Amino acid sequence: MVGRLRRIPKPLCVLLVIAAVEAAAWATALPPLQGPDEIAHLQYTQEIVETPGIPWRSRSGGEPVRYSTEIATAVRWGQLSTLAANPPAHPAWTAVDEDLWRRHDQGLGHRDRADGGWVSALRNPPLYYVYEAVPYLVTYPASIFTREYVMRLANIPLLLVVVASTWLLLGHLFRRSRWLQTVGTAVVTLNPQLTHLAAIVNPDIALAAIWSLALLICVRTAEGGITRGRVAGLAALSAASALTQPRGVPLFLAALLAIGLAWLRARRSAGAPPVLGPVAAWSAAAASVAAAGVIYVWYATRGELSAGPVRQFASYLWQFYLPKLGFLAPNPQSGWTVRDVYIDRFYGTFAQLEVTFPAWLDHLLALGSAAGVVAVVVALVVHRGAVARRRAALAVMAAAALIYILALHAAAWRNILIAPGDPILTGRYLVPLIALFGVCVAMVVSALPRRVAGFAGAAIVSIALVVQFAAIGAVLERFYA
Amino acid sequence: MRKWVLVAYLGGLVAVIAVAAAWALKDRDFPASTAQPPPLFTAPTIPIKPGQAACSNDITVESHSRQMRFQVGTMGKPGPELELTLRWPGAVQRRTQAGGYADNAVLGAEFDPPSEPRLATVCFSNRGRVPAYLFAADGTRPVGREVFGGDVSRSTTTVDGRRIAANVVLSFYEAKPTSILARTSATASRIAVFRPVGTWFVWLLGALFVIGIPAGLAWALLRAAGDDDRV
Repeated sequence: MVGRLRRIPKPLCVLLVIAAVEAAAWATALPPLQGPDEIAHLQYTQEIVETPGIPWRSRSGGEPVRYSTEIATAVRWGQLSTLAANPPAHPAWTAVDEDLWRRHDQGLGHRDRADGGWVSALRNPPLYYVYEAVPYLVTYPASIFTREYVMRLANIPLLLVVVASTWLLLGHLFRRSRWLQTVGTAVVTLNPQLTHLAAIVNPDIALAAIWSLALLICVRTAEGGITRGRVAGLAALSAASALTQPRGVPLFLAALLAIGLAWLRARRSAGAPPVLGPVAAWSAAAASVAAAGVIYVWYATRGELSAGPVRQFASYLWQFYLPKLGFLAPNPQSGWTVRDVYIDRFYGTFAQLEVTFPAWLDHLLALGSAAGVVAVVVALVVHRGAVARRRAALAVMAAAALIYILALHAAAWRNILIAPGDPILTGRYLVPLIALFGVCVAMVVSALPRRVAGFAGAAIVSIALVVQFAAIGAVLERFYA
Repeated sequence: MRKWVLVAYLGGLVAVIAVAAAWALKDRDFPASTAQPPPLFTAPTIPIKPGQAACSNDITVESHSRQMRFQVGTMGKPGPELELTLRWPGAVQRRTQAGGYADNAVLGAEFDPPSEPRLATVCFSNRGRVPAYLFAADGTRPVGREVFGGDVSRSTTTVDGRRIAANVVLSFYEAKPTSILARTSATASRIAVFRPVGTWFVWLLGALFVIGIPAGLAWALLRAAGDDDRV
């Protein structure tokens, strides 16, 4: 065991420690229950522990939101709801505030923990909440604040899975170049949105861990072939993804693609005759894509597959990324753009969404990211020989990203049809693909001459460090200054 | 390669330090406690007629709470004189807000803070001839906005002894602008409240974050560059 631990590359060890420190610092600096929907996620876990059964249900049945007496007492006497999403508010931060809450909390018992009702998180599948039930139980009968804090810290292993999976994926793709592994993993480790999600009770961090690990196994399967362990791993991760968050359901499509590509490669290298001729094979591939597309559109349009709703969805999708064409219908979410999702809320926007970067920093991040996208395209062209050799890995990664992002859009459009005011698609939902963010950075650095690669990689990491510091600074300023 | 890594990383680190120093050293209006922030969704007021008094309890005041801030509407008339009382067990302080202030003015009154945090009661008595409308929050939210946030605070507010649903929007600030760096110690203590960790743990995490992360990154980058150089 000790020998195995010693074999872990030292830069990875350091990055894992950095990730853990970041998450612990954020979990401590963010006042209780100030993460997005954190109160609802806490209540879900509490209901699992305190009441019989799993309270997973798709609809409220019309009942209003109701927190347990214990949580409501913490919210009222800890001044947590007056704090939420309200920048002029500051936390209750003195010992007398804590004493006042404790006086109201001390008489509460099991019944007051078990009397919670409907919260929106109950629509989620239960896997993450079952996981969080462990720290909830371990800290029993400590106060609700202690339980919530330890539940936040329990996300750290999930964050470490993201970091380690990114490292291994980069090692697989870049022939164990320590430099590229370190740079790519460092920008993931320093991404403040990832840290933010690791510091609050929220299933998004579990989804990020599952997808990061699944991407690694998908790429290894597509290039290295099918093994019993890989198939079992992908099956387990696909199930875990679907049982963590509805957004995680499409993972099985990426897994199937990886297994399919590996199977085709194995047949080809074994000299077996093709199952289908080229025309039939391409037709089958096109039919599969079309079938997946129909399922997506069916979901997005709430089952309306006639021309009108489909055109509306396509129009929304086009206008999200590209300028409106004259013949397209107006986009009901025209104020919510690719910049909001891929920049402002992927790097920043924390707590109850009221903590944001200054506009100039968001602007610089947008410019840098746009330059990064161009650089990735250039790198792919420069390395077209290697790209051709690694096309199975690239196809799996690109397909996984596309499958996931299209699912986000389908869910967003479906929601727009119900509640036009809520854009639903936000930057933190992209975090399950964050390992690919590291891959893109490493790809750009790998295309540079050796010396320049050293300089550029270190410069990119130092910029990521600036962004991480700016983020924790924004959180501290919001709540404590 | 290691040389170029070091040059680029140190350049970035200098930028981090410069920006962080400017941020931490900048003097800013510093809060001491927020009893009731402005509401998120609505803007109710509490009318105080001449001779009436409104009181809110469970207001935290602590050693930095020098200036009490609140906002008053007057319906376009010159504001009436107000008597402000701050009371906690064993101490009472009274101040007078002179009349004649503008409609919707944010007013500040200086008090001597307690040496340790206390739960206080704040009263506003109208000594003028026209009503004063204290800006308040009552937790009302539009239909369909079932978001977490925007609730009324824990205080209980009464007008002439009669309990009302709203609380006065009220906060305490330090006497003069100060920097985040000057309040590092107070901030570490404040972060530790409601947490199962002591202030020492906040300091430890802060040190690891501010010093450990940049140093660890530098080491990891140099080590990785060295590993690749050897290949």
